[in-house]
Amino acid sequence: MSTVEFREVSKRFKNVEALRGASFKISDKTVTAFLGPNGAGKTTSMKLIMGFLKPNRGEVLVWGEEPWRNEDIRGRIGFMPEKPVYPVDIAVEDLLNHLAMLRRISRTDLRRIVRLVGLEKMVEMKIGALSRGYIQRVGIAQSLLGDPELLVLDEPTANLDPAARRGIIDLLKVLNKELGVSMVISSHIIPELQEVSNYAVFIDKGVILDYGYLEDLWRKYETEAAFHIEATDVNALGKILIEKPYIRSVKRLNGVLEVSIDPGHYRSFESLLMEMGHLVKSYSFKTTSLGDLYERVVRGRS
Amino acid sequence: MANRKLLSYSIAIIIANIISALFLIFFFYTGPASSIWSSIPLGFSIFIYKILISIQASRVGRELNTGEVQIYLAHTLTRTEYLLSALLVVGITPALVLVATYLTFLAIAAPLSYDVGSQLPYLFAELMMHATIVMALAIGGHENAASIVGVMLALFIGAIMGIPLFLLILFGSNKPAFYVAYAATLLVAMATPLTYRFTYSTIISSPLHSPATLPDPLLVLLLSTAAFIILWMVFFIRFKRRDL
Repeated sequence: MSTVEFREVSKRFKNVEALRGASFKISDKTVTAFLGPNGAGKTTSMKLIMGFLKPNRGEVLVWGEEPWRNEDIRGRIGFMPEKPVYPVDIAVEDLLNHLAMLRRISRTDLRRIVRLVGLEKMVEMKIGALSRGYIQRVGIAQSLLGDPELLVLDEPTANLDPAARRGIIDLLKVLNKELGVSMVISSHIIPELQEVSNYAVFIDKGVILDYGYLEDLWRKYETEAAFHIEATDVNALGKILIEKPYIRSVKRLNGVLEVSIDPGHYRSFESLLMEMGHLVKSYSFKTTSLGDLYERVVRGRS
Repeated sequence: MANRKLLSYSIAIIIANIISALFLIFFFYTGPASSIWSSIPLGFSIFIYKILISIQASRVGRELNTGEVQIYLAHTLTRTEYLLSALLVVGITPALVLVATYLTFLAIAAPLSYDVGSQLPYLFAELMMHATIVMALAIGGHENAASIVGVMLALFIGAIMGIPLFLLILFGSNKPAFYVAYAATLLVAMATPLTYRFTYSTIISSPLHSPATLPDPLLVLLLSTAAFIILWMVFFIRFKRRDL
């Protein structure tokens, strides 16, 4: 069963059609980048997942249930809204304690979450005195209360400076690694979730352009991929690799080999590198950015 | 959050009690009828509570408008529980607190006065109807309107009621106009049953008018109570499907 499924969902607000027949699935245990420009319908989708909105047409299913009908579903989801509105004149600790009380979670669990998101030194500060980056951390902390099975984070990096954005992306990576929880993260800054996500939903003007595992999408849209390889003998390795039919180019950059391969051969190439362990010291995988993939998806649709 | 709401109630209770105590000290022992000493401080207290109710309703409106409500709903509150908490904060708690406060004074000052004691259900209905009107605006997302209309009603409901009452008295014998004025009076009286009861008592004690043409205060109380119960049921049903 999919964690989230939209079936021909339409949602209208007065004269604005925010979603138009949107259909997609989000698989279990994925970190999903929900990507699209401003006004694409991301926040509407997030709110539909949470059951805060009722679709005008179609069905939204979360673990097979309609969230606006079955409100118990929300107990299994952690949610961070796009524009978190917290009372500014109370301390971080008081807000989190209050919300933890609603979830009936212990102080020990709360302290663990506070540590995890890096808010230990801020708990006594008033929310109004926090920087945007730390307010987002408060948002993420409250979304983690109650050990949710799914995290829905609406634009967690919106309006942040680059350093704070970097901090949040790193935090999301840690959460994914430490908690192994499924996530749906929306962003209008298309490339930024590349490091975190393994699944994507692309949306524009209320229409779902495509969705799926990133690996499948890279292949489907024939995006290039490159490996950076550190070798014990760069020349010897280069000579071997250049003979492989699926390898497009081999370049030597500052003692590192940059190998560009046809999409669809990632796994076989990685196997080859394993076999040549005596020549390969280390390697890293670089695809084109999510932004390029998004552009290809948009072009593909038009 | 809860502390701030409790604080505003505490302030309202203290102010209302001081006003009542002052009137009790200065007027009760000097001899005026119990309904007179009680109605003046009660009028002040009702005004204060109505302002408080309007502010709380406006806060609910703000929670809905800004999306703050999403935080609470995301933490396992159901829509019904959220609205129930709003009903408690905006309506039932202030109404019961004022009734209880007033009851305390009655127990001390006029324990056997049926006239004063019978005001209590009217008092409860008066505050609940006010809460219902401002909550209708708040749930509709009209945060500012909830506070402005609430304050205006608290200030001018007596004057507003005077218009249909005047017409009712004026058109007493003219049947079609009488029905319109009667319905209008009934409607406004339902919004403020205690004020209407005072007004009714004043009018019928005057030799200028026959009481037969005015809606009975008990009927107003019953209709008012039925109205706020039905309206809150409608709020609950509609809130289940409202976009947040």
